[in-house]
Amino acid sequence: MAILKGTLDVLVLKTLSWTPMHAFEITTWLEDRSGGRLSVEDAALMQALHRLEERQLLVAEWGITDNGRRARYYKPTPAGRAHLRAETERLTDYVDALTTILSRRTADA
Amino acid sequence: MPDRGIRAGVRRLFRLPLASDANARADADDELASFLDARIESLTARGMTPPEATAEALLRLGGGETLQQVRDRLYHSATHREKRMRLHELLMDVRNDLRFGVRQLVKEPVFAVVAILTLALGIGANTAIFTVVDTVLLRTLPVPNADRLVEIGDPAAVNGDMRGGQMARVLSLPLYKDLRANSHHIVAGLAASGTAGQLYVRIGAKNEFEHPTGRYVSGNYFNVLGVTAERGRVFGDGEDGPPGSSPAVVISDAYWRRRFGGAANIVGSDIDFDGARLTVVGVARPGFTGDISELSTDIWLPINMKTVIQPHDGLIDDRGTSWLLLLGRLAPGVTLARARTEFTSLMRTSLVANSQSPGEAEQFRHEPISVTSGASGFSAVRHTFHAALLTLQVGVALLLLIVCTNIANLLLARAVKRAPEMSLRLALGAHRTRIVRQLMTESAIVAILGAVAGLGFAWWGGQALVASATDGSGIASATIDLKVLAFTVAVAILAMLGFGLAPALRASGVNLAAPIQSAGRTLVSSGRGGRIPIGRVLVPMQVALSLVLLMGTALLTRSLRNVDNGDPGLDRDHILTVDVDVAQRGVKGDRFFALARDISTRIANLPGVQAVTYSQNGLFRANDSNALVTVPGFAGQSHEDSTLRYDLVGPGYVRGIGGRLLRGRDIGSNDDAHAPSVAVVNETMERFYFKGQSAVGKVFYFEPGVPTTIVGVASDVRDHSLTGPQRRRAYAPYAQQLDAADQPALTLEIRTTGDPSLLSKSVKAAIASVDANLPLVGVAPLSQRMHDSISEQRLVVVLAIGFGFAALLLAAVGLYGVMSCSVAMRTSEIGLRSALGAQQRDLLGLVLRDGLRLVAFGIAAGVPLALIAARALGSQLHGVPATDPVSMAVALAVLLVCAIAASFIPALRASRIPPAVALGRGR
Repeated sequence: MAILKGTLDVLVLKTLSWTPMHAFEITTWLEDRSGGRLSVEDAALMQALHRLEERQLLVAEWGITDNGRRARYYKPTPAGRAHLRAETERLTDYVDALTTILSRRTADA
Repeated sequence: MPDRGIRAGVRRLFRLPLASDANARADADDELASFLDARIESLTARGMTPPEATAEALLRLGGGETLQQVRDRLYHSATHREKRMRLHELLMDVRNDLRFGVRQLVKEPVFAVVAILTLALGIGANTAIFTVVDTVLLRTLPVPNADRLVEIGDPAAVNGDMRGGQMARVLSLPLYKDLRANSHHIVAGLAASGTAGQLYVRIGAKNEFEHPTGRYVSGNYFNVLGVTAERGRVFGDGEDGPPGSSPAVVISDAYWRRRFGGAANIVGSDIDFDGARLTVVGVARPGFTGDISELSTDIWLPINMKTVIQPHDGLIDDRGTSWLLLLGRLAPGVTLARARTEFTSLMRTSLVANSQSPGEAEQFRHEPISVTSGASGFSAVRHTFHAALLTLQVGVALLLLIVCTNIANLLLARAVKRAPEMSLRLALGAHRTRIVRQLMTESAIVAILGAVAGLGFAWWGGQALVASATDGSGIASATIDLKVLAFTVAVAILAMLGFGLAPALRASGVNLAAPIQSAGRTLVSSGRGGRIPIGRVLVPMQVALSLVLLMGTALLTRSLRNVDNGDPGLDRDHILTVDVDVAQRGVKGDRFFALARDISTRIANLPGVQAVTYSQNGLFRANDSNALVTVPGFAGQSHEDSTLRYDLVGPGYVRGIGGRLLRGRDIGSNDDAHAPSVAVVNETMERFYFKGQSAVGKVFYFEPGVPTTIVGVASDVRDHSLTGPQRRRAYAPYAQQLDAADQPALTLEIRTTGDPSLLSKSVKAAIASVDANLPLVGVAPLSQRMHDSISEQRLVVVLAIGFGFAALLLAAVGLYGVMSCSVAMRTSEIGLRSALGAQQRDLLGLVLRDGLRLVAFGIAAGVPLALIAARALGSQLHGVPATDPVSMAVALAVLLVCAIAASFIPALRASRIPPAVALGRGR
């Protein structure tokens, strides 16, 4: 299942709210936590990370991975955390509404 | 490569630089590579072969696009982010710098106050003088495209009225018409204006005369200038008709508001010009006050109405009556240079064609013709004040330079104290530019505060200066406009660079090791290394500049004393002058002479009066008369050679003003209309026209056919100006010039035995006993008028003295600062010397010699500079050579005394340092 447009940013922020991660960790984490249901496009993820950094929702610093590779670790800024809260609320509401409508039994169902 | 791992706060704290665009891109590349590696690894772990895994990883990273497109997008984000961060950091830096700078200044309030106040003085003085320069010299007429205007005639002759022959300095009406008819290829329009005097008008039902300023103008005047009417209309071709045909006036917006309260029905109302009624046809648009920069015109009248309003002034279409100045608007593509060439030739052609004799024609072929830019309009004072204002502007610029060196000195002293701080920062990796920026921010704070305080000072001072520059008439107002503001900002920036840059560069260039090692002190400072080289350059500079200012001040002061105390050739301390406004009472012709005789007799009988006489123009007034005269046997080279100044005077004039009659007799009471025409002339006139022969008995001609015999020669008198060259002058009997008596002017000169001001009351009473209604315009001792006539020189001198002493004080403070600092740094050396047996006197000498060496360098540089500056003053000096040894000696002496005093205190302090303390204290 591909990720819906506009939700990648908030997923990334959510991922990073636990601990700083580098790009590849984020994909793996998302795939694992969704039980393999969500697959993140590599290109889209890289661009999302840079976009979020540009908007100052994330900051990055170089670090060393567990297997000794240099990688850029991202973590949310306070603005990023605030953005995550607001977006989470908005998306939950939206999904709620969506669920309510879609799960209603229709006359011909 | 800078480590991106450093936190932003830490980076700012240590002033570390951010990544460049290239670095940001390299970062993005690194990240992509690392991501690919991780992906390939994970794919291989799932069982792909390495080539398959690589292909798959690249495919995934490319998404729907090529890898390069993704990379480009990442680059874009990365560089964009870096750019914004850099800007952000810059703003943070500026804010931090400002905060830090203010803290540094507050920490040393004495430095801050001294720096800001002296800078305010420097900037304020510059702005104040510039305000006046702007008002008097630079301001352009408030009309569209003023730079396309051209002026023909002497721009200073705003009130010129020359008779007796054709003229080029001011123009006659026929000459104007010649030029106007033949100059369509040079100018789009050519207007004439003349006479900016006081009018005699009655407005409404009031029977009293008022005196608005009037100017006669040609019908196209407003169109040429591009000035429209706010109400009604401006003049048009209709106003260029035959004499007396257009009884119309245009008034200025200011006059309309001031005199008529902005009445809505102004257009169509009448103004009574002593019998002639003229109708207001329009109000010129606001802001336009005429073509004279320092004098606002209230009422514009058509030239053709002059014969109606001032009938006694004679015909206006006479080529021998010159009273107009011309303003033209250059035709498209015509340069000022071309206009000059063309108008010069047009004018000479007309003058030659109408000359009375071959000799005169020859003179006109070489007559200098003035064709100048009309952007600033005409001005009687611009020329006079030009040199004085430029002198002052240079003077204040020097003062500011001294202020800057002084602040630079103070900053250097602080730089020494802050050296450890700087080396710590440098050691931590701060860039030198960053430190320079921090230090320049401190300078900028000082400069901004100084400029703001200076503007206030200038606003206050500029008003006062312009008021005194324009004789307090208050007509030209000094306003601080955008130009002045821009000037102040420019001066402040220059000053900031001037005093801040060198110390900042020096402070940031400290030796990294030296200050940190300061614990390991040395007893003897390492030669000159321990002192402040730049400071040692600045002090001689200040001394040199101060010497220039002091020399200028001394020269101007001595020049003023010469002017003040010179022999004017008359009895300056015992003359009371009284201006009587006879015109207002309508006293004319024979009645005027009877009145003058009666008043003279009454006053002569008062106790304390030695003699009474009278004249048309008076003494030390702006009024003066010129005539072109013919002297048999004399052939002049130019018009100027034939020009003679004259005054119409009453009986006993030379004795009456306390002049000395060298030969012949004074004007007598029998020299009236029935007697042959006579005159008394001055020495200069005799010497010029008669080359060493006695002029008594010789004849010259004011008018062709009417010989005037010289009956006496008087010694030269300074009667109009204490400065400037002595003019050729004649005194002719008033009673023989009846035409001038048509609307006569009367100034009484009363020679007293005691203080003339004591007599003013009884003189007024005597005049009132003849005619109680005669208005007395001015009653003043002559010495007062003479004093006032040089108020401009006095103003320059007072300001120069102020600048000179400010400069001296600043130089002394600078020297004191450098010497104190030097002594403080050499404390241990001095202690050592003292411990080794040096006497107090030796130590005193040691430090004093050091200070005086700096002063000597300054004087060596300053003397030639001062001499050059003095030469530039040239025209402002009266009776003092530019190389005046007395002025130089005074300037040097004052400077030396100050310098010795300034270095004596630190020297004394040094000599009293107990050796134990000095050795123990170290640095």
